[in-house]
Amino acid sequence: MAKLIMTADDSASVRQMVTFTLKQNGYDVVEAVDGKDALTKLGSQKVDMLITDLNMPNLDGIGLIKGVRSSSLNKFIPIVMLTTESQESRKLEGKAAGATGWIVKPFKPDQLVAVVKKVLG
Amino acid sequence: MANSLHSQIQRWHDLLGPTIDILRHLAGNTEEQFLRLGANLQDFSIRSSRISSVAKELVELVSGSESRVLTEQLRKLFVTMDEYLARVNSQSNDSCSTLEQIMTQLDNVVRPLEGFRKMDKALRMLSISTKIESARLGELGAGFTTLAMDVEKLSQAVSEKSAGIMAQRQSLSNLITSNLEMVRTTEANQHADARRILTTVGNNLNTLESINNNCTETGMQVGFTSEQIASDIGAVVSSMQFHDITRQQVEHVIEALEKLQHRIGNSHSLRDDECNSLIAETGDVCELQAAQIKHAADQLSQATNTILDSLLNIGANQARISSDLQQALMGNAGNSENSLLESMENEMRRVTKILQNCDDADQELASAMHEVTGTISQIGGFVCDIEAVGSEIDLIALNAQIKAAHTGEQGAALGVLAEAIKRLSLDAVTQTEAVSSTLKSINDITAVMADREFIAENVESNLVGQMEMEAAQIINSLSSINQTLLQQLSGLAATAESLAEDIHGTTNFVHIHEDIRNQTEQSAVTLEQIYNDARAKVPASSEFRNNLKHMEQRYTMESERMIHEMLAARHGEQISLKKQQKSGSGSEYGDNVDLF
Repeated sequence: MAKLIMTADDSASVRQMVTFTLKQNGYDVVEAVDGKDALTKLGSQKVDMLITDLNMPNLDGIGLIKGVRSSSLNKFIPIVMLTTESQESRKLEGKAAGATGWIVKPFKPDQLVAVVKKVLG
Repeated sequence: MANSLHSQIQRWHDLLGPTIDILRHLAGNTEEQFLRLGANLQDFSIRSSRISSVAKELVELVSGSESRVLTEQLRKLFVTMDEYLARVNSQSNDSCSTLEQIMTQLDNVVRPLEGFRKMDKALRMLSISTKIESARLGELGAGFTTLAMDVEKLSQAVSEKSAGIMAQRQSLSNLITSNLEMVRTTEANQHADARRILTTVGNNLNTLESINNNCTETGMQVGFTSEQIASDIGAVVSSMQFHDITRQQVEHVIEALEKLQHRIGNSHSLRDDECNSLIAETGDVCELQAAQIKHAADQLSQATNTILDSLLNIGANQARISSDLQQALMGNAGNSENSLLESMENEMRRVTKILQNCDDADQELASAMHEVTGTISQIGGFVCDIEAVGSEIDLIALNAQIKAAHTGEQGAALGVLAEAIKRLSLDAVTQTEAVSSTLKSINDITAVMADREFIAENVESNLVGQMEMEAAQIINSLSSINQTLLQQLSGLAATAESLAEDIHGTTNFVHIHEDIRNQTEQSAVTLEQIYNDARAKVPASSEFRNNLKHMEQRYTMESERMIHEMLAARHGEQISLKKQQKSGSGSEYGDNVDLF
């Protein structure tokens, strides 16, 4: 059975490219339009991994990570930030919140797939 | 504050309004077009994958195991053909030589048969003389009348048998002459056919090897092109993200300009020094944001061009795969209806037809040889009869001598006749032996020939059957591969053509980057106009960094920070682009990836 990955990003075109890349490589994908939408969906749906943007309306990426880590259903899933933010201080903030990895946009499909494979074991 | 300065600032305020509106429009209304492009990319990618997959299957079909089996079958057929040719050649030579030997032997039969004819005459004369002598002796020669009748019967028997042998000899001679002609014609035809087969099979081997080589090369090209296509798709995926990146950059510019617009909108009550400071800041902000917006537009324009070029590359590469395969499998004949394999299939059908001709010729030859041996066997029967006649003459001569002795002196003449009959019996033995010896030689020759023909007939029949079977197997394989090939190839060409057309259609209608560039250039021109005016009134100073410090908090991208630092350096500030310490590992995945 294919692994299920959530992509959370307020940019529809980024979600589209993440979904396209992952589906081409045999993963199932569920989309969320911002942090709040993602957290709501993750409350009732078990996923294998979360790929999230940092700057999003309603709830940002850091808030989303904290929410997931304090939930029960997806508490231990790998979470990778996918953002234009490249400042080291923000990465450390993400790491402290519980992020597994950090990818600065734009990503190459091969990179994303390699990271997904790595963190999913 | 002087009125003119105030009205100038007010004018900048008024110019910033429409500029911000344009940028807001850019940030909020362009995603739909990129999403459509993204949806098209997915469609093109799926279709492209199908083309690559079918192309790989075709290459495997034609240059893979099926092809190896076919090449092996053709080589085997080539060897079998060589063996067959050697055998046919030797067999034809043997057949001709045998028939020529028989013809020579048949000529040897003529002289003894002439002797039989003379003997027949002599017997008739002796019969008449015996009858005359018997009549002269009257009652004393009565027993010789019966002897005369026996001699006459004997003469008839010799005449019939020798005529029979002569007729059979003539018939055999005619048969052999016509068979010799047939054997020589068959030999010539079979050689010509065999040469055609060998040429055809050799050509087919070359064709197959050529297809194989072409397909192997095309297969490597397909693999290479598929990698290029994957790389093009990767480039499109990366470039598509620049819409989001540019949107964020434009939003940062909007924020900076909105803040400036607000500040200069509340500048009525500023003192002169405060006013100068605001003018310097306005110059700084507009200079920096003009650079940021230009960079963002350049970046998006470059990314969109990459998307369009990559999509066109995908279409062109798939069209090339299709065309290369078409070339490799259909050849240079320019006939799109017949593949090289189909031509091979037709050639192999010719081979089968020629093999059937060879088989027919072999059977005709074997049948002719059987006829020869049959006729010779009939002649053998006549020889036995003549041998019996010789023995009978001997007995009659003995009987005549005894009767002549009983008759005494008066039967002396009959004694002479008896002597003559006795001599004829000796002649008969000599002639019979001569004919018999010749016929025995012919029998020996034909017996050897019959054995050899029998064996050869079976061997050739098996060989031809084997070759026909191999040819049929090759035709079956070719037919099966060819059918799949033509179906797939025509589908592949249509799919590749329609993909290239659709990609062209899509890329022809993508002008979003040009619109964005035009609008950002318009905004940049306005910002440059404001900062030129501002600089004319208050030159740039080392306050640049302080004036724009608040903006650094807003940047998320390295490129934004780079532009900021470069402009700051231009105004006397030191660039301090410290290499940032990475917080994780993951360089094996690229510089933009950190795994904690």
